[in-house]
Amino acid sequence: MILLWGTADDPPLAAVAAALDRRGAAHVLVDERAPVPASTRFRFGDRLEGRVGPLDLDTVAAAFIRPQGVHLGTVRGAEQARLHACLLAWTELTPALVVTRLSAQASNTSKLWQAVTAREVGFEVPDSLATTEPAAARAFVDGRSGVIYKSLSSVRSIVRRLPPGERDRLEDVRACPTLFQAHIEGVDHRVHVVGSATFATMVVSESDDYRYDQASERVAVELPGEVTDRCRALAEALALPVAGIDLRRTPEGRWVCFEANPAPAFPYFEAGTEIADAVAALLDGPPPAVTGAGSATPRG
Amino acid sequence: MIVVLAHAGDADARRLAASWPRGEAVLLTPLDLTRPGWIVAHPGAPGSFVAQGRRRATAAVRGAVVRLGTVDADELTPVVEADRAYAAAEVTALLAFWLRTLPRGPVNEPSPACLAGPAWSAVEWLTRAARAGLATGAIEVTVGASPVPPDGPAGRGSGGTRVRVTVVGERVLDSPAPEVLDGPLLALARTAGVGLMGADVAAAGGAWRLESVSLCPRLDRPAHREALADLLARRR
Repeated sequence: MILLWGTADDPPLAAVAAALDRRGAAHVLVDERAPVPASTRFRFGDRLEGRVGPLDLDTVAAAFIRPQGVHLGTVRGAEQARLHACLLAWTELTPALVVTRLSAQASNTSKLWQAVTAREVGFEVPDSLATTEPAAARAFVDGRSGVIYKSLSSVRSIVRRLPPGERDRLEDVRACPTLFQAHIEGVDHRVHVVGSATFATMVVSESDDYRYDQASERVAVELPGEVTDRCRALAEALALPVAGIDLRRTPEGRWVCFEANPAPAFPYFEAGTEIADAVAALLDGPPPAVTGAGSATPRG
Repeated sequence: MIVVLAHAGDADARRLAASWPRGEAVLLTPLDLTRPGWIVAHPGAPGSFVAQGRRRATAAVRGAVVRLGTVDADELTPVVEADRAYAAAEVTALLAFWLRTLPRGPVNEPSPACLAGPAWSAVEWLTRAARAGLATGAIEVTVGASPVPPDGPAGRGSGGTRVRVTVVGERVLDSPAPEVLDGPLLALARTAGVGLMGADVAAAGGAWRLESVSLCPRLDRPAHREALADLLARRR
């Protein structure tokens, strides 16, 4: 049995559910918004057991989890919160394949933490500075042709380039550490790693942050073998069975790694169902040993 | 220099820093993250940090004791109130990286979600403890009927003798039953990647049962502080 945990209308979860249907793989959804089923109970400590309504968690061989939780308002009320806490603990303790445990997803809460791991597996990462010292920020900015600033944590922020006229604002870093990164010229690529499979998409955008560019185009591409190997190594080092890795290819042909998204919204990048199918195959059995490009048709 | 990272109100941390041999320890609180002087580059050489209001060289750090999981927004008083939650996430993210990349790191291996060690819930600790060989009993949670929260199972810890044990490196302090408890407690600490851990055990039916685990245990006796100082001295 494959457990899906989240909300039914979450695009990645819906895509995986549809892919499991196509495979004929048995799956069950625990919807965060639904009332807690009767006969829901857990046992921790000396034994790990769980039952969510009729579902015996001992029968779960794999789980695809995208819980939004209390902070996003999806979980309401004490009972739903209790089920949420118990299921979270269960996913951390079960020997079943979990895509992806929240303890592993946590690496994304510190971009510099991830950058250390990316560098350890051989990726070039952008020069970065986190500082509360205006003079250090000015020196970092003055020594480079372009600098962007963004959040250090997983709190979503729009990546912005520091305009030359805003150099005086660097005094504002005194009260809170601010992350500056050397701007890297080049073309963005998103590589989805699913088990041992990889799906690379080139993103063509004029914006510093393509996520906010409605005119961006996404095109499936093949990457050099050493780059896909590094992507697999990074996902493995971060304990991510599924990852969305953000790379940029410079005009000189270097590949620079920015971050690994532990719960990627992959439907945005696929025109067909190749990534969802790969996730379903991973959940349903041995991971597919294919490496290939995604669909070539951009999806708006 | 030893860094003790703690909430401003942590009296044990203040005592620990103040009593460190040769005055080698400094106390770093969240307020220090709101002061000029932090320079953290990656890739790059160790820069500087701020502790007790003064800028210091990161390269001089010889070890760290972390007594907070994350930075609380309420402690960042120089930041405007509307931005404090964001600032707390940012400084926690910075500290996670900074601790991980210290030339000589903390006693407890930090994780991105918990600066003091793994971000395990109470039931995760107890289940992993049982796997390490400790008696924990069953923690049963019925959802939708009996309001038993997973972080505080009712009925546990009532009655009987209760003892707080402290693991420091390979030493187990104050253990009431070394032959039964020490091996599994050390195994649990190794699994968690921590060198400092508190464990509350209770006598139940002639046996000792683990009640709870803390990554920020009380360090209110000189023996605890001396063991910690000794551990860090031996790691150099």
